[in-house]
Amino acid sequence: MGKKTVKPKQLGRKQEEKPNLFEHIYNRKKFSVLGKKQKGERKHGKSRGDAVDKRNKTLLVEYKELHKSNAFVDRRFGEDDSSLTEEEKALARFQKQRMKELTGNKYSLPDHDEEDELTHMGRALADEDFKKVGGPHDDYEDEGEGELDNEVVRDFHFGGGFVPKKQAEGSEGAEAGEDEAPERRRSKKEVMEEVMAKSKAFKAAKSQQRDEDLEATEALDTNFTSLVDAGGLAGLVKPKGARDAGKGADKRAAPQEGDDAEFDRFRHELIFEAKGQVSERTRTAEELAELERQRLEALEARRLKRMRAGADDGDGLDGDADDAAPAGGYKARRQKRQKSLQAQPHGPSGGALDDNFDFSDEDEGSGSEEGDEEEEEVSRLDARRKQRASGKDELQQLFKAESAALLEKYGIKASEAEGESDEEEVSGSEEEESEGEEEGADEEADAVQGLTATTSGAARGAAAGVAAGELPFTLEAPGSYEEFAALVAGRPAEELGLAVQRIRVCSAAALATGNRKKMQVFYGILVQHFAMLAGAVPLPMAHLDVLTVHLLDLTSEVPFYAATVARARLTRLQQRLAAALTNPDTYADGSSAWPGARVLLLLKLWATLFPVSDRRHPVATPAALLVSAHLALCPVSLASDIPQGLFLSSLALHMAAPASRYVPEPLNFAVQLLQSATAVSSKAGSEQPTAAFSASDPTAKWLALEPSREADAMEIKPLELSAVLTKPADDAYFGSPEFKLSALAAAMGVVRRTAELFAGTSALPEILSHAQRALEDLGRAEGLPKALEERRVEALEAVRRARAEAVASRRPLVRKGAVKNAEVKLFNPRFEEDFVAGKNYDPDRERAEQKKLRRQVQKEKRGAMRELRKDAVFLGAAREADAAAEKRERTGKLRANFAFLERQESDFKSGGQGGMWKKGGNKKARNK
Amino acid sequence: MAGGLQPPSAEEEQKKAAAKQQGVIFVLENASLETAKVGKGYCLLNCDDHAGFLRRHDKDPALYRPDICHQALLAILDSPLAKSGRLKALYVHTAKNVLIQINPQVRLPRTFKRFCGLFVQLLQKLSIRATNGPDKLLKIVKGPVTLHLPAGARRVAFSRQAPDLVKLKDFVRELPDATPAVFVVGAMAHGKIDASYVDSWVSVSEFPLSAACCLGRITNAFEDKWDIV
Repeated sequence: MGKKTVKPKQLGRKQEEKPNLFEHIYNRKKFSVLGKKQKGERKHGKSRGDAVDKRNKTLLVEYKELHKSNAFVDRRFGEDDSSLTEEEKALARFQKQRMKELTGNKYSLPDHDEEDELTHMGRALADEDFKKVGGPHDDYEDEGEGELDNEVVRDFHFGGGFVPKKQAEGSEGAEAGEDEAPERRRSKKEVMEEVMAKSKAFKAAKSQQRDEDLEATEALDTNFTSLVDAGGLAGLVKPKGARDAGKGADKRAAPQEGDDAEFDRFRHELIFEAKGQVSERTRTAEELAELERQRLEALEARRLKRMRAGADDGDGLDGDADDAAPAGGYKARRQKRQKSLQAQPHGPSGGALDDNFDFSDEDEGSGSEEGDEEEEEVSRLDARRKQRASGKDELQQLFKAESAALLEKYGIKASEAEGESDEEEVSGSEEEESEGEEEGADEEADAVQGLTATTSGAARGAAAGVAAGELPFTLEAPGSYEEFAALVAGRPAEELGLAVQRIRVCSAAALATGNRKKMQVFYGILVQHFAMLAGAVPLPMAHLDVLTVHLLDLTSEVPFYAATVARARLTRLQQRLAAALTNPDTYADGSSAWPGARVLLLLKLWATLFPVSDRRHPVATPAALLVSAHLALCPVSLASDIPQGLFLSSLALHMAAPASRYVPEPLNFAVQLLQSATAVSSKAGSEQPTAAFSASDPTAKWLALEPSREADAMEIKPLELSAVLTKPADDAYFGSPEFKLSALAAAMGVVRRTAELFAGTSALPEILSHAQRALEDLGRAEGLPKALEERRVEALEAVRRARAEAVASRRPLVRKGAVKNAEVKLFNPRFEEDFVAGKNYDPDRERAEQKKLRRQVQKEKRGAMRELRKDAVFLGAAREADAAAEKRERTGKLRANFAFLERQESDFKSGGQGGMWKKGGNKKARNK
Repeated sequence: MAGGLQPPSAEEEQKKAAAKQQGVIFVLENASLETAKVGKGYCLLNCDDHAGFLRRHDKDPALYRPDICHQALLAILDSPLAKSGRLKALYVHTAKNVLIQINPQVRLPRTFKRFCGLFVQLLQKLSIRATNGPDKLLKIVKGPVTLHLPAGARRVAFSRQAPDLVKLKDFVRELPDATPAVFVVGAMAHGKIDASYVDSWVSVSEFPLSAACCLGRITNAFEDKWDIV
């Protein structure tokens, strides 16, 4: 019964959409996805039918009109609608026609026959009543009433556009102008008139004002003259001459008034109020240096004055201020010259000064222009200088003779010494890298003897001159080493320091542009002096210390030059070592390849001056290499070589320590020493540590101790560097147990220090194995003194501990390649965060776009081909149908014709009986 | 070297050596990896996000637990056993009867969201390639899984209801080394796996274990056995 409740319309649609089972195509679901609409359930048959219909409407129509030149298109209303019947169509066409007529074309004029007529106010214009009541009359009928009409026509008919309005107004302006004035546009004439009237009024007002002003001025003038005449202004005008007085009176008068006085006072206070205290400016380094120099100059001037004063003490005291101030101009010079001339005969110190100059150099005058005093002396000494230049000065000759004797004493010929000293001059003035200096070190060794002799305090005529005198406050930087040597010869360490300090102050690099060069030269001189002193027989350690301090400062001032000097000397030392090693006979005279005290101290100096912790340093690195080379290559042929080796060992450790760089040489040397101490009996247990010491004599037992009671009780003294290094090689000291004890203790110290320094090295057990064996061997030896035994045990403990720690810190070796389970390589899956099937995820957008377009083209192509194919099939069918129809028609006609002919024939044959007659039939009929 | 015999590449040799090594094969049965069109896009159905959707389609949300599969896969692939190359193959058999072959060298997404994205794409495209290699890392293959298991392999399934409770270490130690072992573990929330192809069923704990925990025990046991640290 439910069917009946369904509405008729729905029913109709349902009936319409009733599925045709033959038109359906089913898709078997293999894998269902929730929420996904299944594809493939389409009505294939229906879509095919639709396609055929569409072709019928389009392609078939075209096909039918294929060879037609024109076509009739029926555009009558409702002709396309197949649902209408002919009658309905006709009715619809009629309705349409009527509607068209009724609405009409709005531009088409209606016919007169029709009822459309003009009306006014709801009445037909043609109406008689309308005309009577007063409707619009015909213009041409009544002229008198026509005036208004004319106006109306002009203004309103056709928008009034064609009749010039102005003209009309102009003619009627008299009547209508005043009433409509506010609204009306004024004519040009009116406007001009108004403007003219306004300007006239303005002019009139202006002239009136001027007249009034004139009158008022005249009145004032007359009043004023009358007032002047009456003398009423006398009090206000002051006479010309009394101007200043008047001012003063004003000023003085001002404070009398209360407020003004207060104000003035306040104003003055403000004017003279202090703005701020000027403080002393912070001085720059240059200014400080300049101040210091000035101070020293003043002191020097005072000193010279005191020195020369003798007789005129009072004068010195009086003129102190004058002298202290730098004097200038010829006048001052003249005065000074006079003074000095006066002082000359009294000066007992003149001889000493002369000597000083004599010893110090010929070229003194060239650089001595800064001080007046010096200038004087120079002029005084001119004569002597000339004499000296010829080499005939008696003091010079004396000096030469003495120095030759001195050199002879040390086994060097005088001529040689002279040649060397010449070279020394070159080295002093012209930097150290000059070629003539290759043997400089050796030469210094000899040349220094003369100098150090002076330091020993011997009263030598030439050198002692300055020593006797006071050190000048202002010291020009010396140009050559001799100059400097003469200056400081025989002076104690403090004075040497003072001299260097003063030279540095007077020629500070900040003061003048040339001073840096001077400082460089001075640096070279200082280094040379250091080398000289370091070669002296009793080592002047105090002097060296003083020099070191200054060299340290100067190195930072002239770092590049300092490095150059050091490298030049290092090169020479290297060459010397090479020569000594290749030709040992050179040193057969008692000395050995081991460096002397000077070289050792120079190496130590460089280790102090330059940063040894740098991985690569132009000076520190070669110096360290040289130290190691000495240790590794120089054979210990004498016991006297041992202190030098020990010194180098400790120096090498000192240089390696900051960067904890491993150097094997010190340890090897120390171990070698320890082994040399082992008695012959224990030789079987010891062996040569490394091939590096093959040069040394393994059988030599320099440090072998014989057990003795006195040695047992002996205390270990540290090796006195200055004493030990300067001792001759064949000194008995080197064979004494005291020396052996000290050397062994020092060697143990080296071993301990090595163990401490390289505590972090993983190869430490191997490094220290020889040392440990040597120490153990030493322990087995009998008769080791107690003190040494203690040291030995300590060292052995340190070595053992260090080795144990290193072994404990070792990690087992892991060979990466031998790991059994190598990790497999992992791959990342390639997927999109929000994947949409069918979307191209090619990161190259252009390529993806092209692919998409290509696909589209292919799809369209395929579709077009399919359509064309289907069209062809359809057309073929249509053609066949046509052909069939034609054939059918022709066949039909043929048949009809044949039938007609047959009929005719039969008719004819039947004799007009229409074929109905038959012989037999008739016979039959007759027979019947 | 024209016409000469090229020695095999190092990689080939390594592969051969690895093939000789003993290995393990895992099969995760009954995994709930199902895609559905929720709204506009496709999602991997899970009980948290799609409860309403599942109820609308008359499904039990409690059964949709792809996170179990994710955990289980991570437990296998992150184990040192897999890193050492002893994991020979890995299969996931879903409740919808889709068999997924997973390359042991895949680095699976750590986050669940990205894991879902990966499997949605896999279930639509049927394979996933590597970003840094030409191989297919995940592939949907034709079932049953026995087609892909090596011949003669010992197939062991795990169930709490299994009659013999074994200590996994002992059990693993006694497994023959000649052929790889196949372990079948269920990756579902409840129930029992339906693996008719296994040789034996064992229970490894008195308590019900999660898939990841069970797999962890297995991998640990093998790591002990083969000395993989």
